[in-house]
Amino acid sequence: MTPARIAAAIAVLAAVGFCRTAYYHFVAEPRHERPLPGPPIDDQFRALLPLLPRSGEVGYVTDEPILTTPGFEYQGAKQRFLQMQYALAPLVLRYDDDRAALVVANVADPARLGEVLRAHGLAAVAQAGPTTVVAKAVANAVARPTP
Amino acid sequence: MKVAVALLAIGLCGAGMTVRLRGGLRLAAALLLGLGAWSAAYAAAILLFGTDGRVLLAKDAALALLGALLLRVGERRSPALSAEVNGVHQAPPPRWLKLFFAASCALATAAVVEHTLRFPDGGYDAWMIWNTRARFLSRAADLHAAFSPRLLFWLHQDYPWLLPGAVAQVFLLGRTEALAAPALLSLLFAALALAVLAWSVARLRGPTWGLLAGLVLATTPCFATFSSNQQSDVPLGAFLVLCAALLTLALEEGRGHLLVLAGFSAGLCAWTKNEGLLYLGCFAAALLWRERRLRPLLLFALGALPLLALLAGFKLGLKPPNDFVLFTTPQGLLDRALSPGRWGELALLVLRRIVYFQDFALWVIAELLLLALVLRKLPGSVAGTALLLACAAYAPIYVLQPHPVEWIYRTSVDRLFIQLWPAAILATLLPLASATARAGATART
Repeated sequence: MTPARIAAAIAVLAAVGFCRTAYYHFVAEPRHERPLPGPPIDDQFRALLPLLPRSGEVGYVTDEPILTTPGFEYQGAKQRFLQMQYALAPLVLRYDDDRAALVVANVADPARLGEVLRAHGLAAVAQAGPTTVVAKAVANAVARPTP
Repeated sequence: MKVAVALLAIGLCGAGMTVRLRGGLRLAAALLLGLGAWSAAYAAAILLFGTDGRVLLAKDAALALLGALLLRVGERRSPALSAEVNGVHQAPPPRWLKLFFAASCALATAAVVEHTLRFPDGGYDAWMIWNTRARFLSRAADLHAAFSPRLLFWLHQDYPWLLPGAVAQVFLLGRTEALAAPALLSLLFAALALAVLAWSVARLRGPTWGLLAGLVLATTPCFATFSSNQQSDVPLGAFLVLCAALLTLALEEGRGHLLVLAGFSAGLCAWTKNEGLLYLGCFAAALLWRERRLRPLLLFALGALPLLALLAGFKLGLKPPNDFVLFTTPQGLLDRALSPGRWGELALLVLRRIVYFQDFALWVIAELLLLALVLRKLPGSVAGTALLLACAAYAPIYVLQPHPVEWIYRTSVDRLFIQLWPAAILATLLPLASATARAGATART
């Protein structure tokens, strides 16, 4: 075992890693991943920002239950919730709390928005997009028709 | 002015702490330790005195003064370490190695830029945990909001916040929350991990070995991806490799004060991620085991003490919820410990992951072959022992934790790998270089 042999072995292994990095980032990703530049998460939630307080707590309800115990790699509803939390921080989103003064209803299927509001006894007070409304408990709400 | 004071704090604090080092290693270590101390001091300041802007300015001014004091005192005392490799003339690295190393660094940087543009908010954990925490810290008037038990546990309120603390300060100082800020910080930590590794191996065994070490890290496929992910794993890897390098320098050259600095770096590991506390414990245990003396351990612990106090202050003061505790009962713990299925599942998962080409290329296979065939016959080192201890500790951790083994393993093991890998490269190449040097000397005589 000489330094030259070790250097040669490292060079061969490094060449393999080099090719893998080049292939993944410059051949595979452009084919299979989202386009460049990728859309920032905040863009999805800009319409929601002026409808909510900047801090404090609001409730959050949805049409797909979020996994509140770990065990699955990925779930769309969980990702939507956490992305919204990221965008709205330091406002705390309280999952499945429909008794908060303000509640965000955020659904995967726009057709189910009305159903979700009814199930939680909520009425929409402002619409932030086809899948998202800010709502209040029916007794407190000055309700607007939901889509 | 606030920006200038903050830069002075990072620069002077880093320069003061590394006053006994020289050359490229000093530059990289100073930046890394300066950044870490700057973020840890931020956490201590806002935990003690609140989030007022004047608190941060006073904190940076105090840090800069402390750094200047260390610099002045350190320069008056015993001479610094030479930048030479044990006084022995080292042949310059071959040209092909320099070119290959430069090309690999360029490719890794291009990959980081490409991945960052495609995922501007970073990887899943970056926006779920680290950058969300940074936003809470920089936006909230009340610090407690960032660690509220009312947040869903997926935000892992109990994680230490070295990286979010640094990002939050950049947001506050720059008066912008540009997505480029955490991305650039992530790239800086990656560059420092690579620089500390290459320069420390070069300092200990010569420039050819230094470049080889850097080449290994730069061509590990998941290094570039994690460097763009804006998560805490690459910063943790950087502090860990610095701890291993300083410890090795201290022990090989009898420089006790570097043990204090190694302890400080290990303390920064603990303030970066929960796993860092495990690594600190493993390094302390390995130091005691290999050295069989209390003094090195005490110096190491002395360096780690301020960060351990900060960690204790955070965990005991704010009492953030922990998902391990949230989902664990004593009976569940016992059931999992006695479940052969979980141990067997883990063993299979580990075997399959060794050949995970997408992230590791052939590096893990090569490392294991080297360990089995060569390194186990060589004298053990503190860094190598500590890393083996850490790997061994992960087996019961994976089995005892409350979540499905397959899920937690698949979603975490690559991150653990990149935390340990820079230090593992150092711990592998140093004894290998010594062994070949000894073999060469024997052949010549």
